[in-house]
Amino acid sequence: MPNHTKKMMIAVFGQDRPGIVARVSGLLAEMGCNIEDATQTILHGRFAGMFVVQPVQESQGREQVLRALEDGFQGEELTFWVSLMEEATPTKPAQEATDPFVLTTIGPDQLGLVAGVTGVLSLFGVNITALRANVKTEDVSQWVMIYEVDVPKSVDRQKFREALYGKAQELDQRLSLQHRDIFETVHRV
Amino acid sequence: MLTEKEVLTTLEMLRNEHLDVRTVTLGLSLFDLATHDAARFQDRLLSRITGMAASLVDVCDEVGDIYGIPVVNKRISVSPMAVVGAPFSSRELVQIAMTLDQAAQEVGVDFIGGFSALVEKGLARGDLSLIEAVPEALTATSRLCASFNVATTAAGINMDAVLLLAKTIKAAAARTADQDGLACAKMGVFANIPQDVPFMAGAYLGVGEPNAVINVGVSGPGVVKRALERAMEADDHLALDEISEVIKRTAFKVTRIGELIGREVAKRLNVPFGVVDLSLAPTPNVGDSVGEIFQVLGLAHIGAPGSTAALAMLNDAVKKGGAFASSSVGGFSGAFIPVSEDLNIAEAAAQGHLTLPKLEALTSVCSVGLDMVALPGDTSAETLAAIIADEMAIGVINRKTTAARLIPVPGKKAGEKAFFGGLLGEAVIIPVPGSGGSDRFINLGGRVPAPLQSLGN
Repeated sequence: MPNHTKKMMIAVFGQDRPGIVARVSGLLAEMGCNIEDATQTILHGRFAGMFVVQPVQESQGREQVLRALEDGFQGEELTFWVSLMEEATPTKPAQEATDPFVLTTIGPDQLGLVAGVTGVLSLFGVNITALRANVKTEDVSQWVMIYEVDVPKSVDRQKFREALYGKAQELDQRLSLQHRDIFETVHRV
Repeated sequence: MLTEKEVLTTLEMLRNEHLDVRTVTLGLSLFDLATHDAARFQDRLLSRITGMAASLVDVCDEVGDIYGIPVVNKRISVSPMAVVGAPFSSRELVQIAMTLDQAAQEVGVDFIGGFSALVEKGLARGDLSLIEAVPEALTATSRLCASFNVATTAAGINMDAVLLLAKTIKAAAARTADQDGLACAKMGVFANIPQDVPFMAGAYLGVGEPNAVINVGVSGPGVVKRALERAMEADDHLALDEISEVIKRTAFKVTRIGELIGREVAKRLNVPFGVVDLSLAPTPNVGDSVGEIFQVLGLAHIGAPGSTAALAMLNDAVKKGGAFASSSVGGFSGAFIPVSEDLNIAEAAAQGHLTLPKLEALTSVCSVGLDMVALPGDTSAETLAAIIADEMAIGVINRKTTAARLIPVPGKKAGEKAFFGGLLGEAVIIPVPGSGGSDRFINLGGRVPAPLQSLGN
């Protein structure tokens, strides 16, 4: 496909209902914007979607795309955000050998829970690759957070664990840190 | 991305259901150390074991830490000492036993197995010396385990060896009378012993095995019990075939974890990976019992009518799950019913629900056999031999492994309690119906011929 103009990142937020993705992708197709990547999730009943598109018609600038999307959903309280993406691949921090781990906290909800845990992760240079909060369990008083993280091999695991468990105790959480392979091995054939 | 269900169900298995890797066993071949000089042999033995197993415990702890699953026991198995040490006298073999114990202590493993002899068809000189050394060897050491194969489906049952070992059990009990015959808890008599067992007391490194190998024993009666409880709470009309499916799936998960950890340990030690033995091996803790699974299945206690059928289903489902999870399943892979090591089974035996005849019936469908059974101290060698012979016959005819780990507790009678400590637990001594009625039969000696392999029925 000819590479006429810069790629765009489009974000869509609003009350979830059937048909949002169909209409967004329909509008993009009408504008000659090819969807190259997409993800969506639902947070507390709100739709949040992100699309990376490659416009194949030179006339499609950021403003036109934004206006077309807003016009297409007029009066429906959907928020759009469109930005141009640089051609060059984003610069990444120096790649270090890492091990994938899954970190879980279970306990009562409270202010600063995510900040506390992620603060420790940040201190040890641990990158979060996926995060889910408010996972439903049988016990509604128990708030479950699941973080998938990449732990640099160079990290002193004992100190890392100690710091995590210390923070978990402070936050009244049961914390576990386990290699991702365990979960894959057990569930995936 | 992992799903929430994947994360949460795995966490539950690990946290609440006592899932651990029960044992990692480093098998070491000793054949190349053979010499007629006992002192030289001991030097070589010590340096081989302390050299090869130097980092075993650290590596297991490290891997356990990474995966968040503890490797509870680290062990070593060696080539059968009756073969490797065939030229030595029993006095020298006692010294060698102490060297093995010392080596185990130096590398920090809790048991070392392989003070063993394979005598299903006859007793060679080395076998006789080793068996003669056993009572003293198991008394003078704390970590050494001994095993004896006295029968196979191909060779039949060596009844001379059965009686000799029964006498050895009596002698070992007498030497450790102050510890309720503890030495007997460290020796097992087998039919069709596998070559790659990671669990004690049966572990030794078979003659067909490589120079060094890592075998893993995974347990999980607690995991199976909780999985069944959950499934049956969710649907109280669950039928046995559906229950079997739950056990199978659980066994699959547990086996996968065992293999993952075993292969990682093997890789780090630069040793080939052997097998994962998925056995429901209980510990003397509440919630980690094979007996409790029977109660979840609706039996008042293990030993009640229906127990044999339930155990048969449990054992089969465990094997099916394990076989699908790994191409390297070996060892026993089934359900253990060691009396003293399982709180629930020990209680059923103490209350008279589980008798010796019922235990024997259960062993026809379980993974091992009459395991950690405490008997009255005055049980004669001939009666012990007869109990062992019965157990061996079950294994030989049914082409399966069976074993007897019997402890005639010196000075104690049926109904009294024997204490072995730690993982070996405690048990009430159970009566032996018809005790003393087998002397003439046992003293006939010789060999029970191998059974016909065709006309199976």
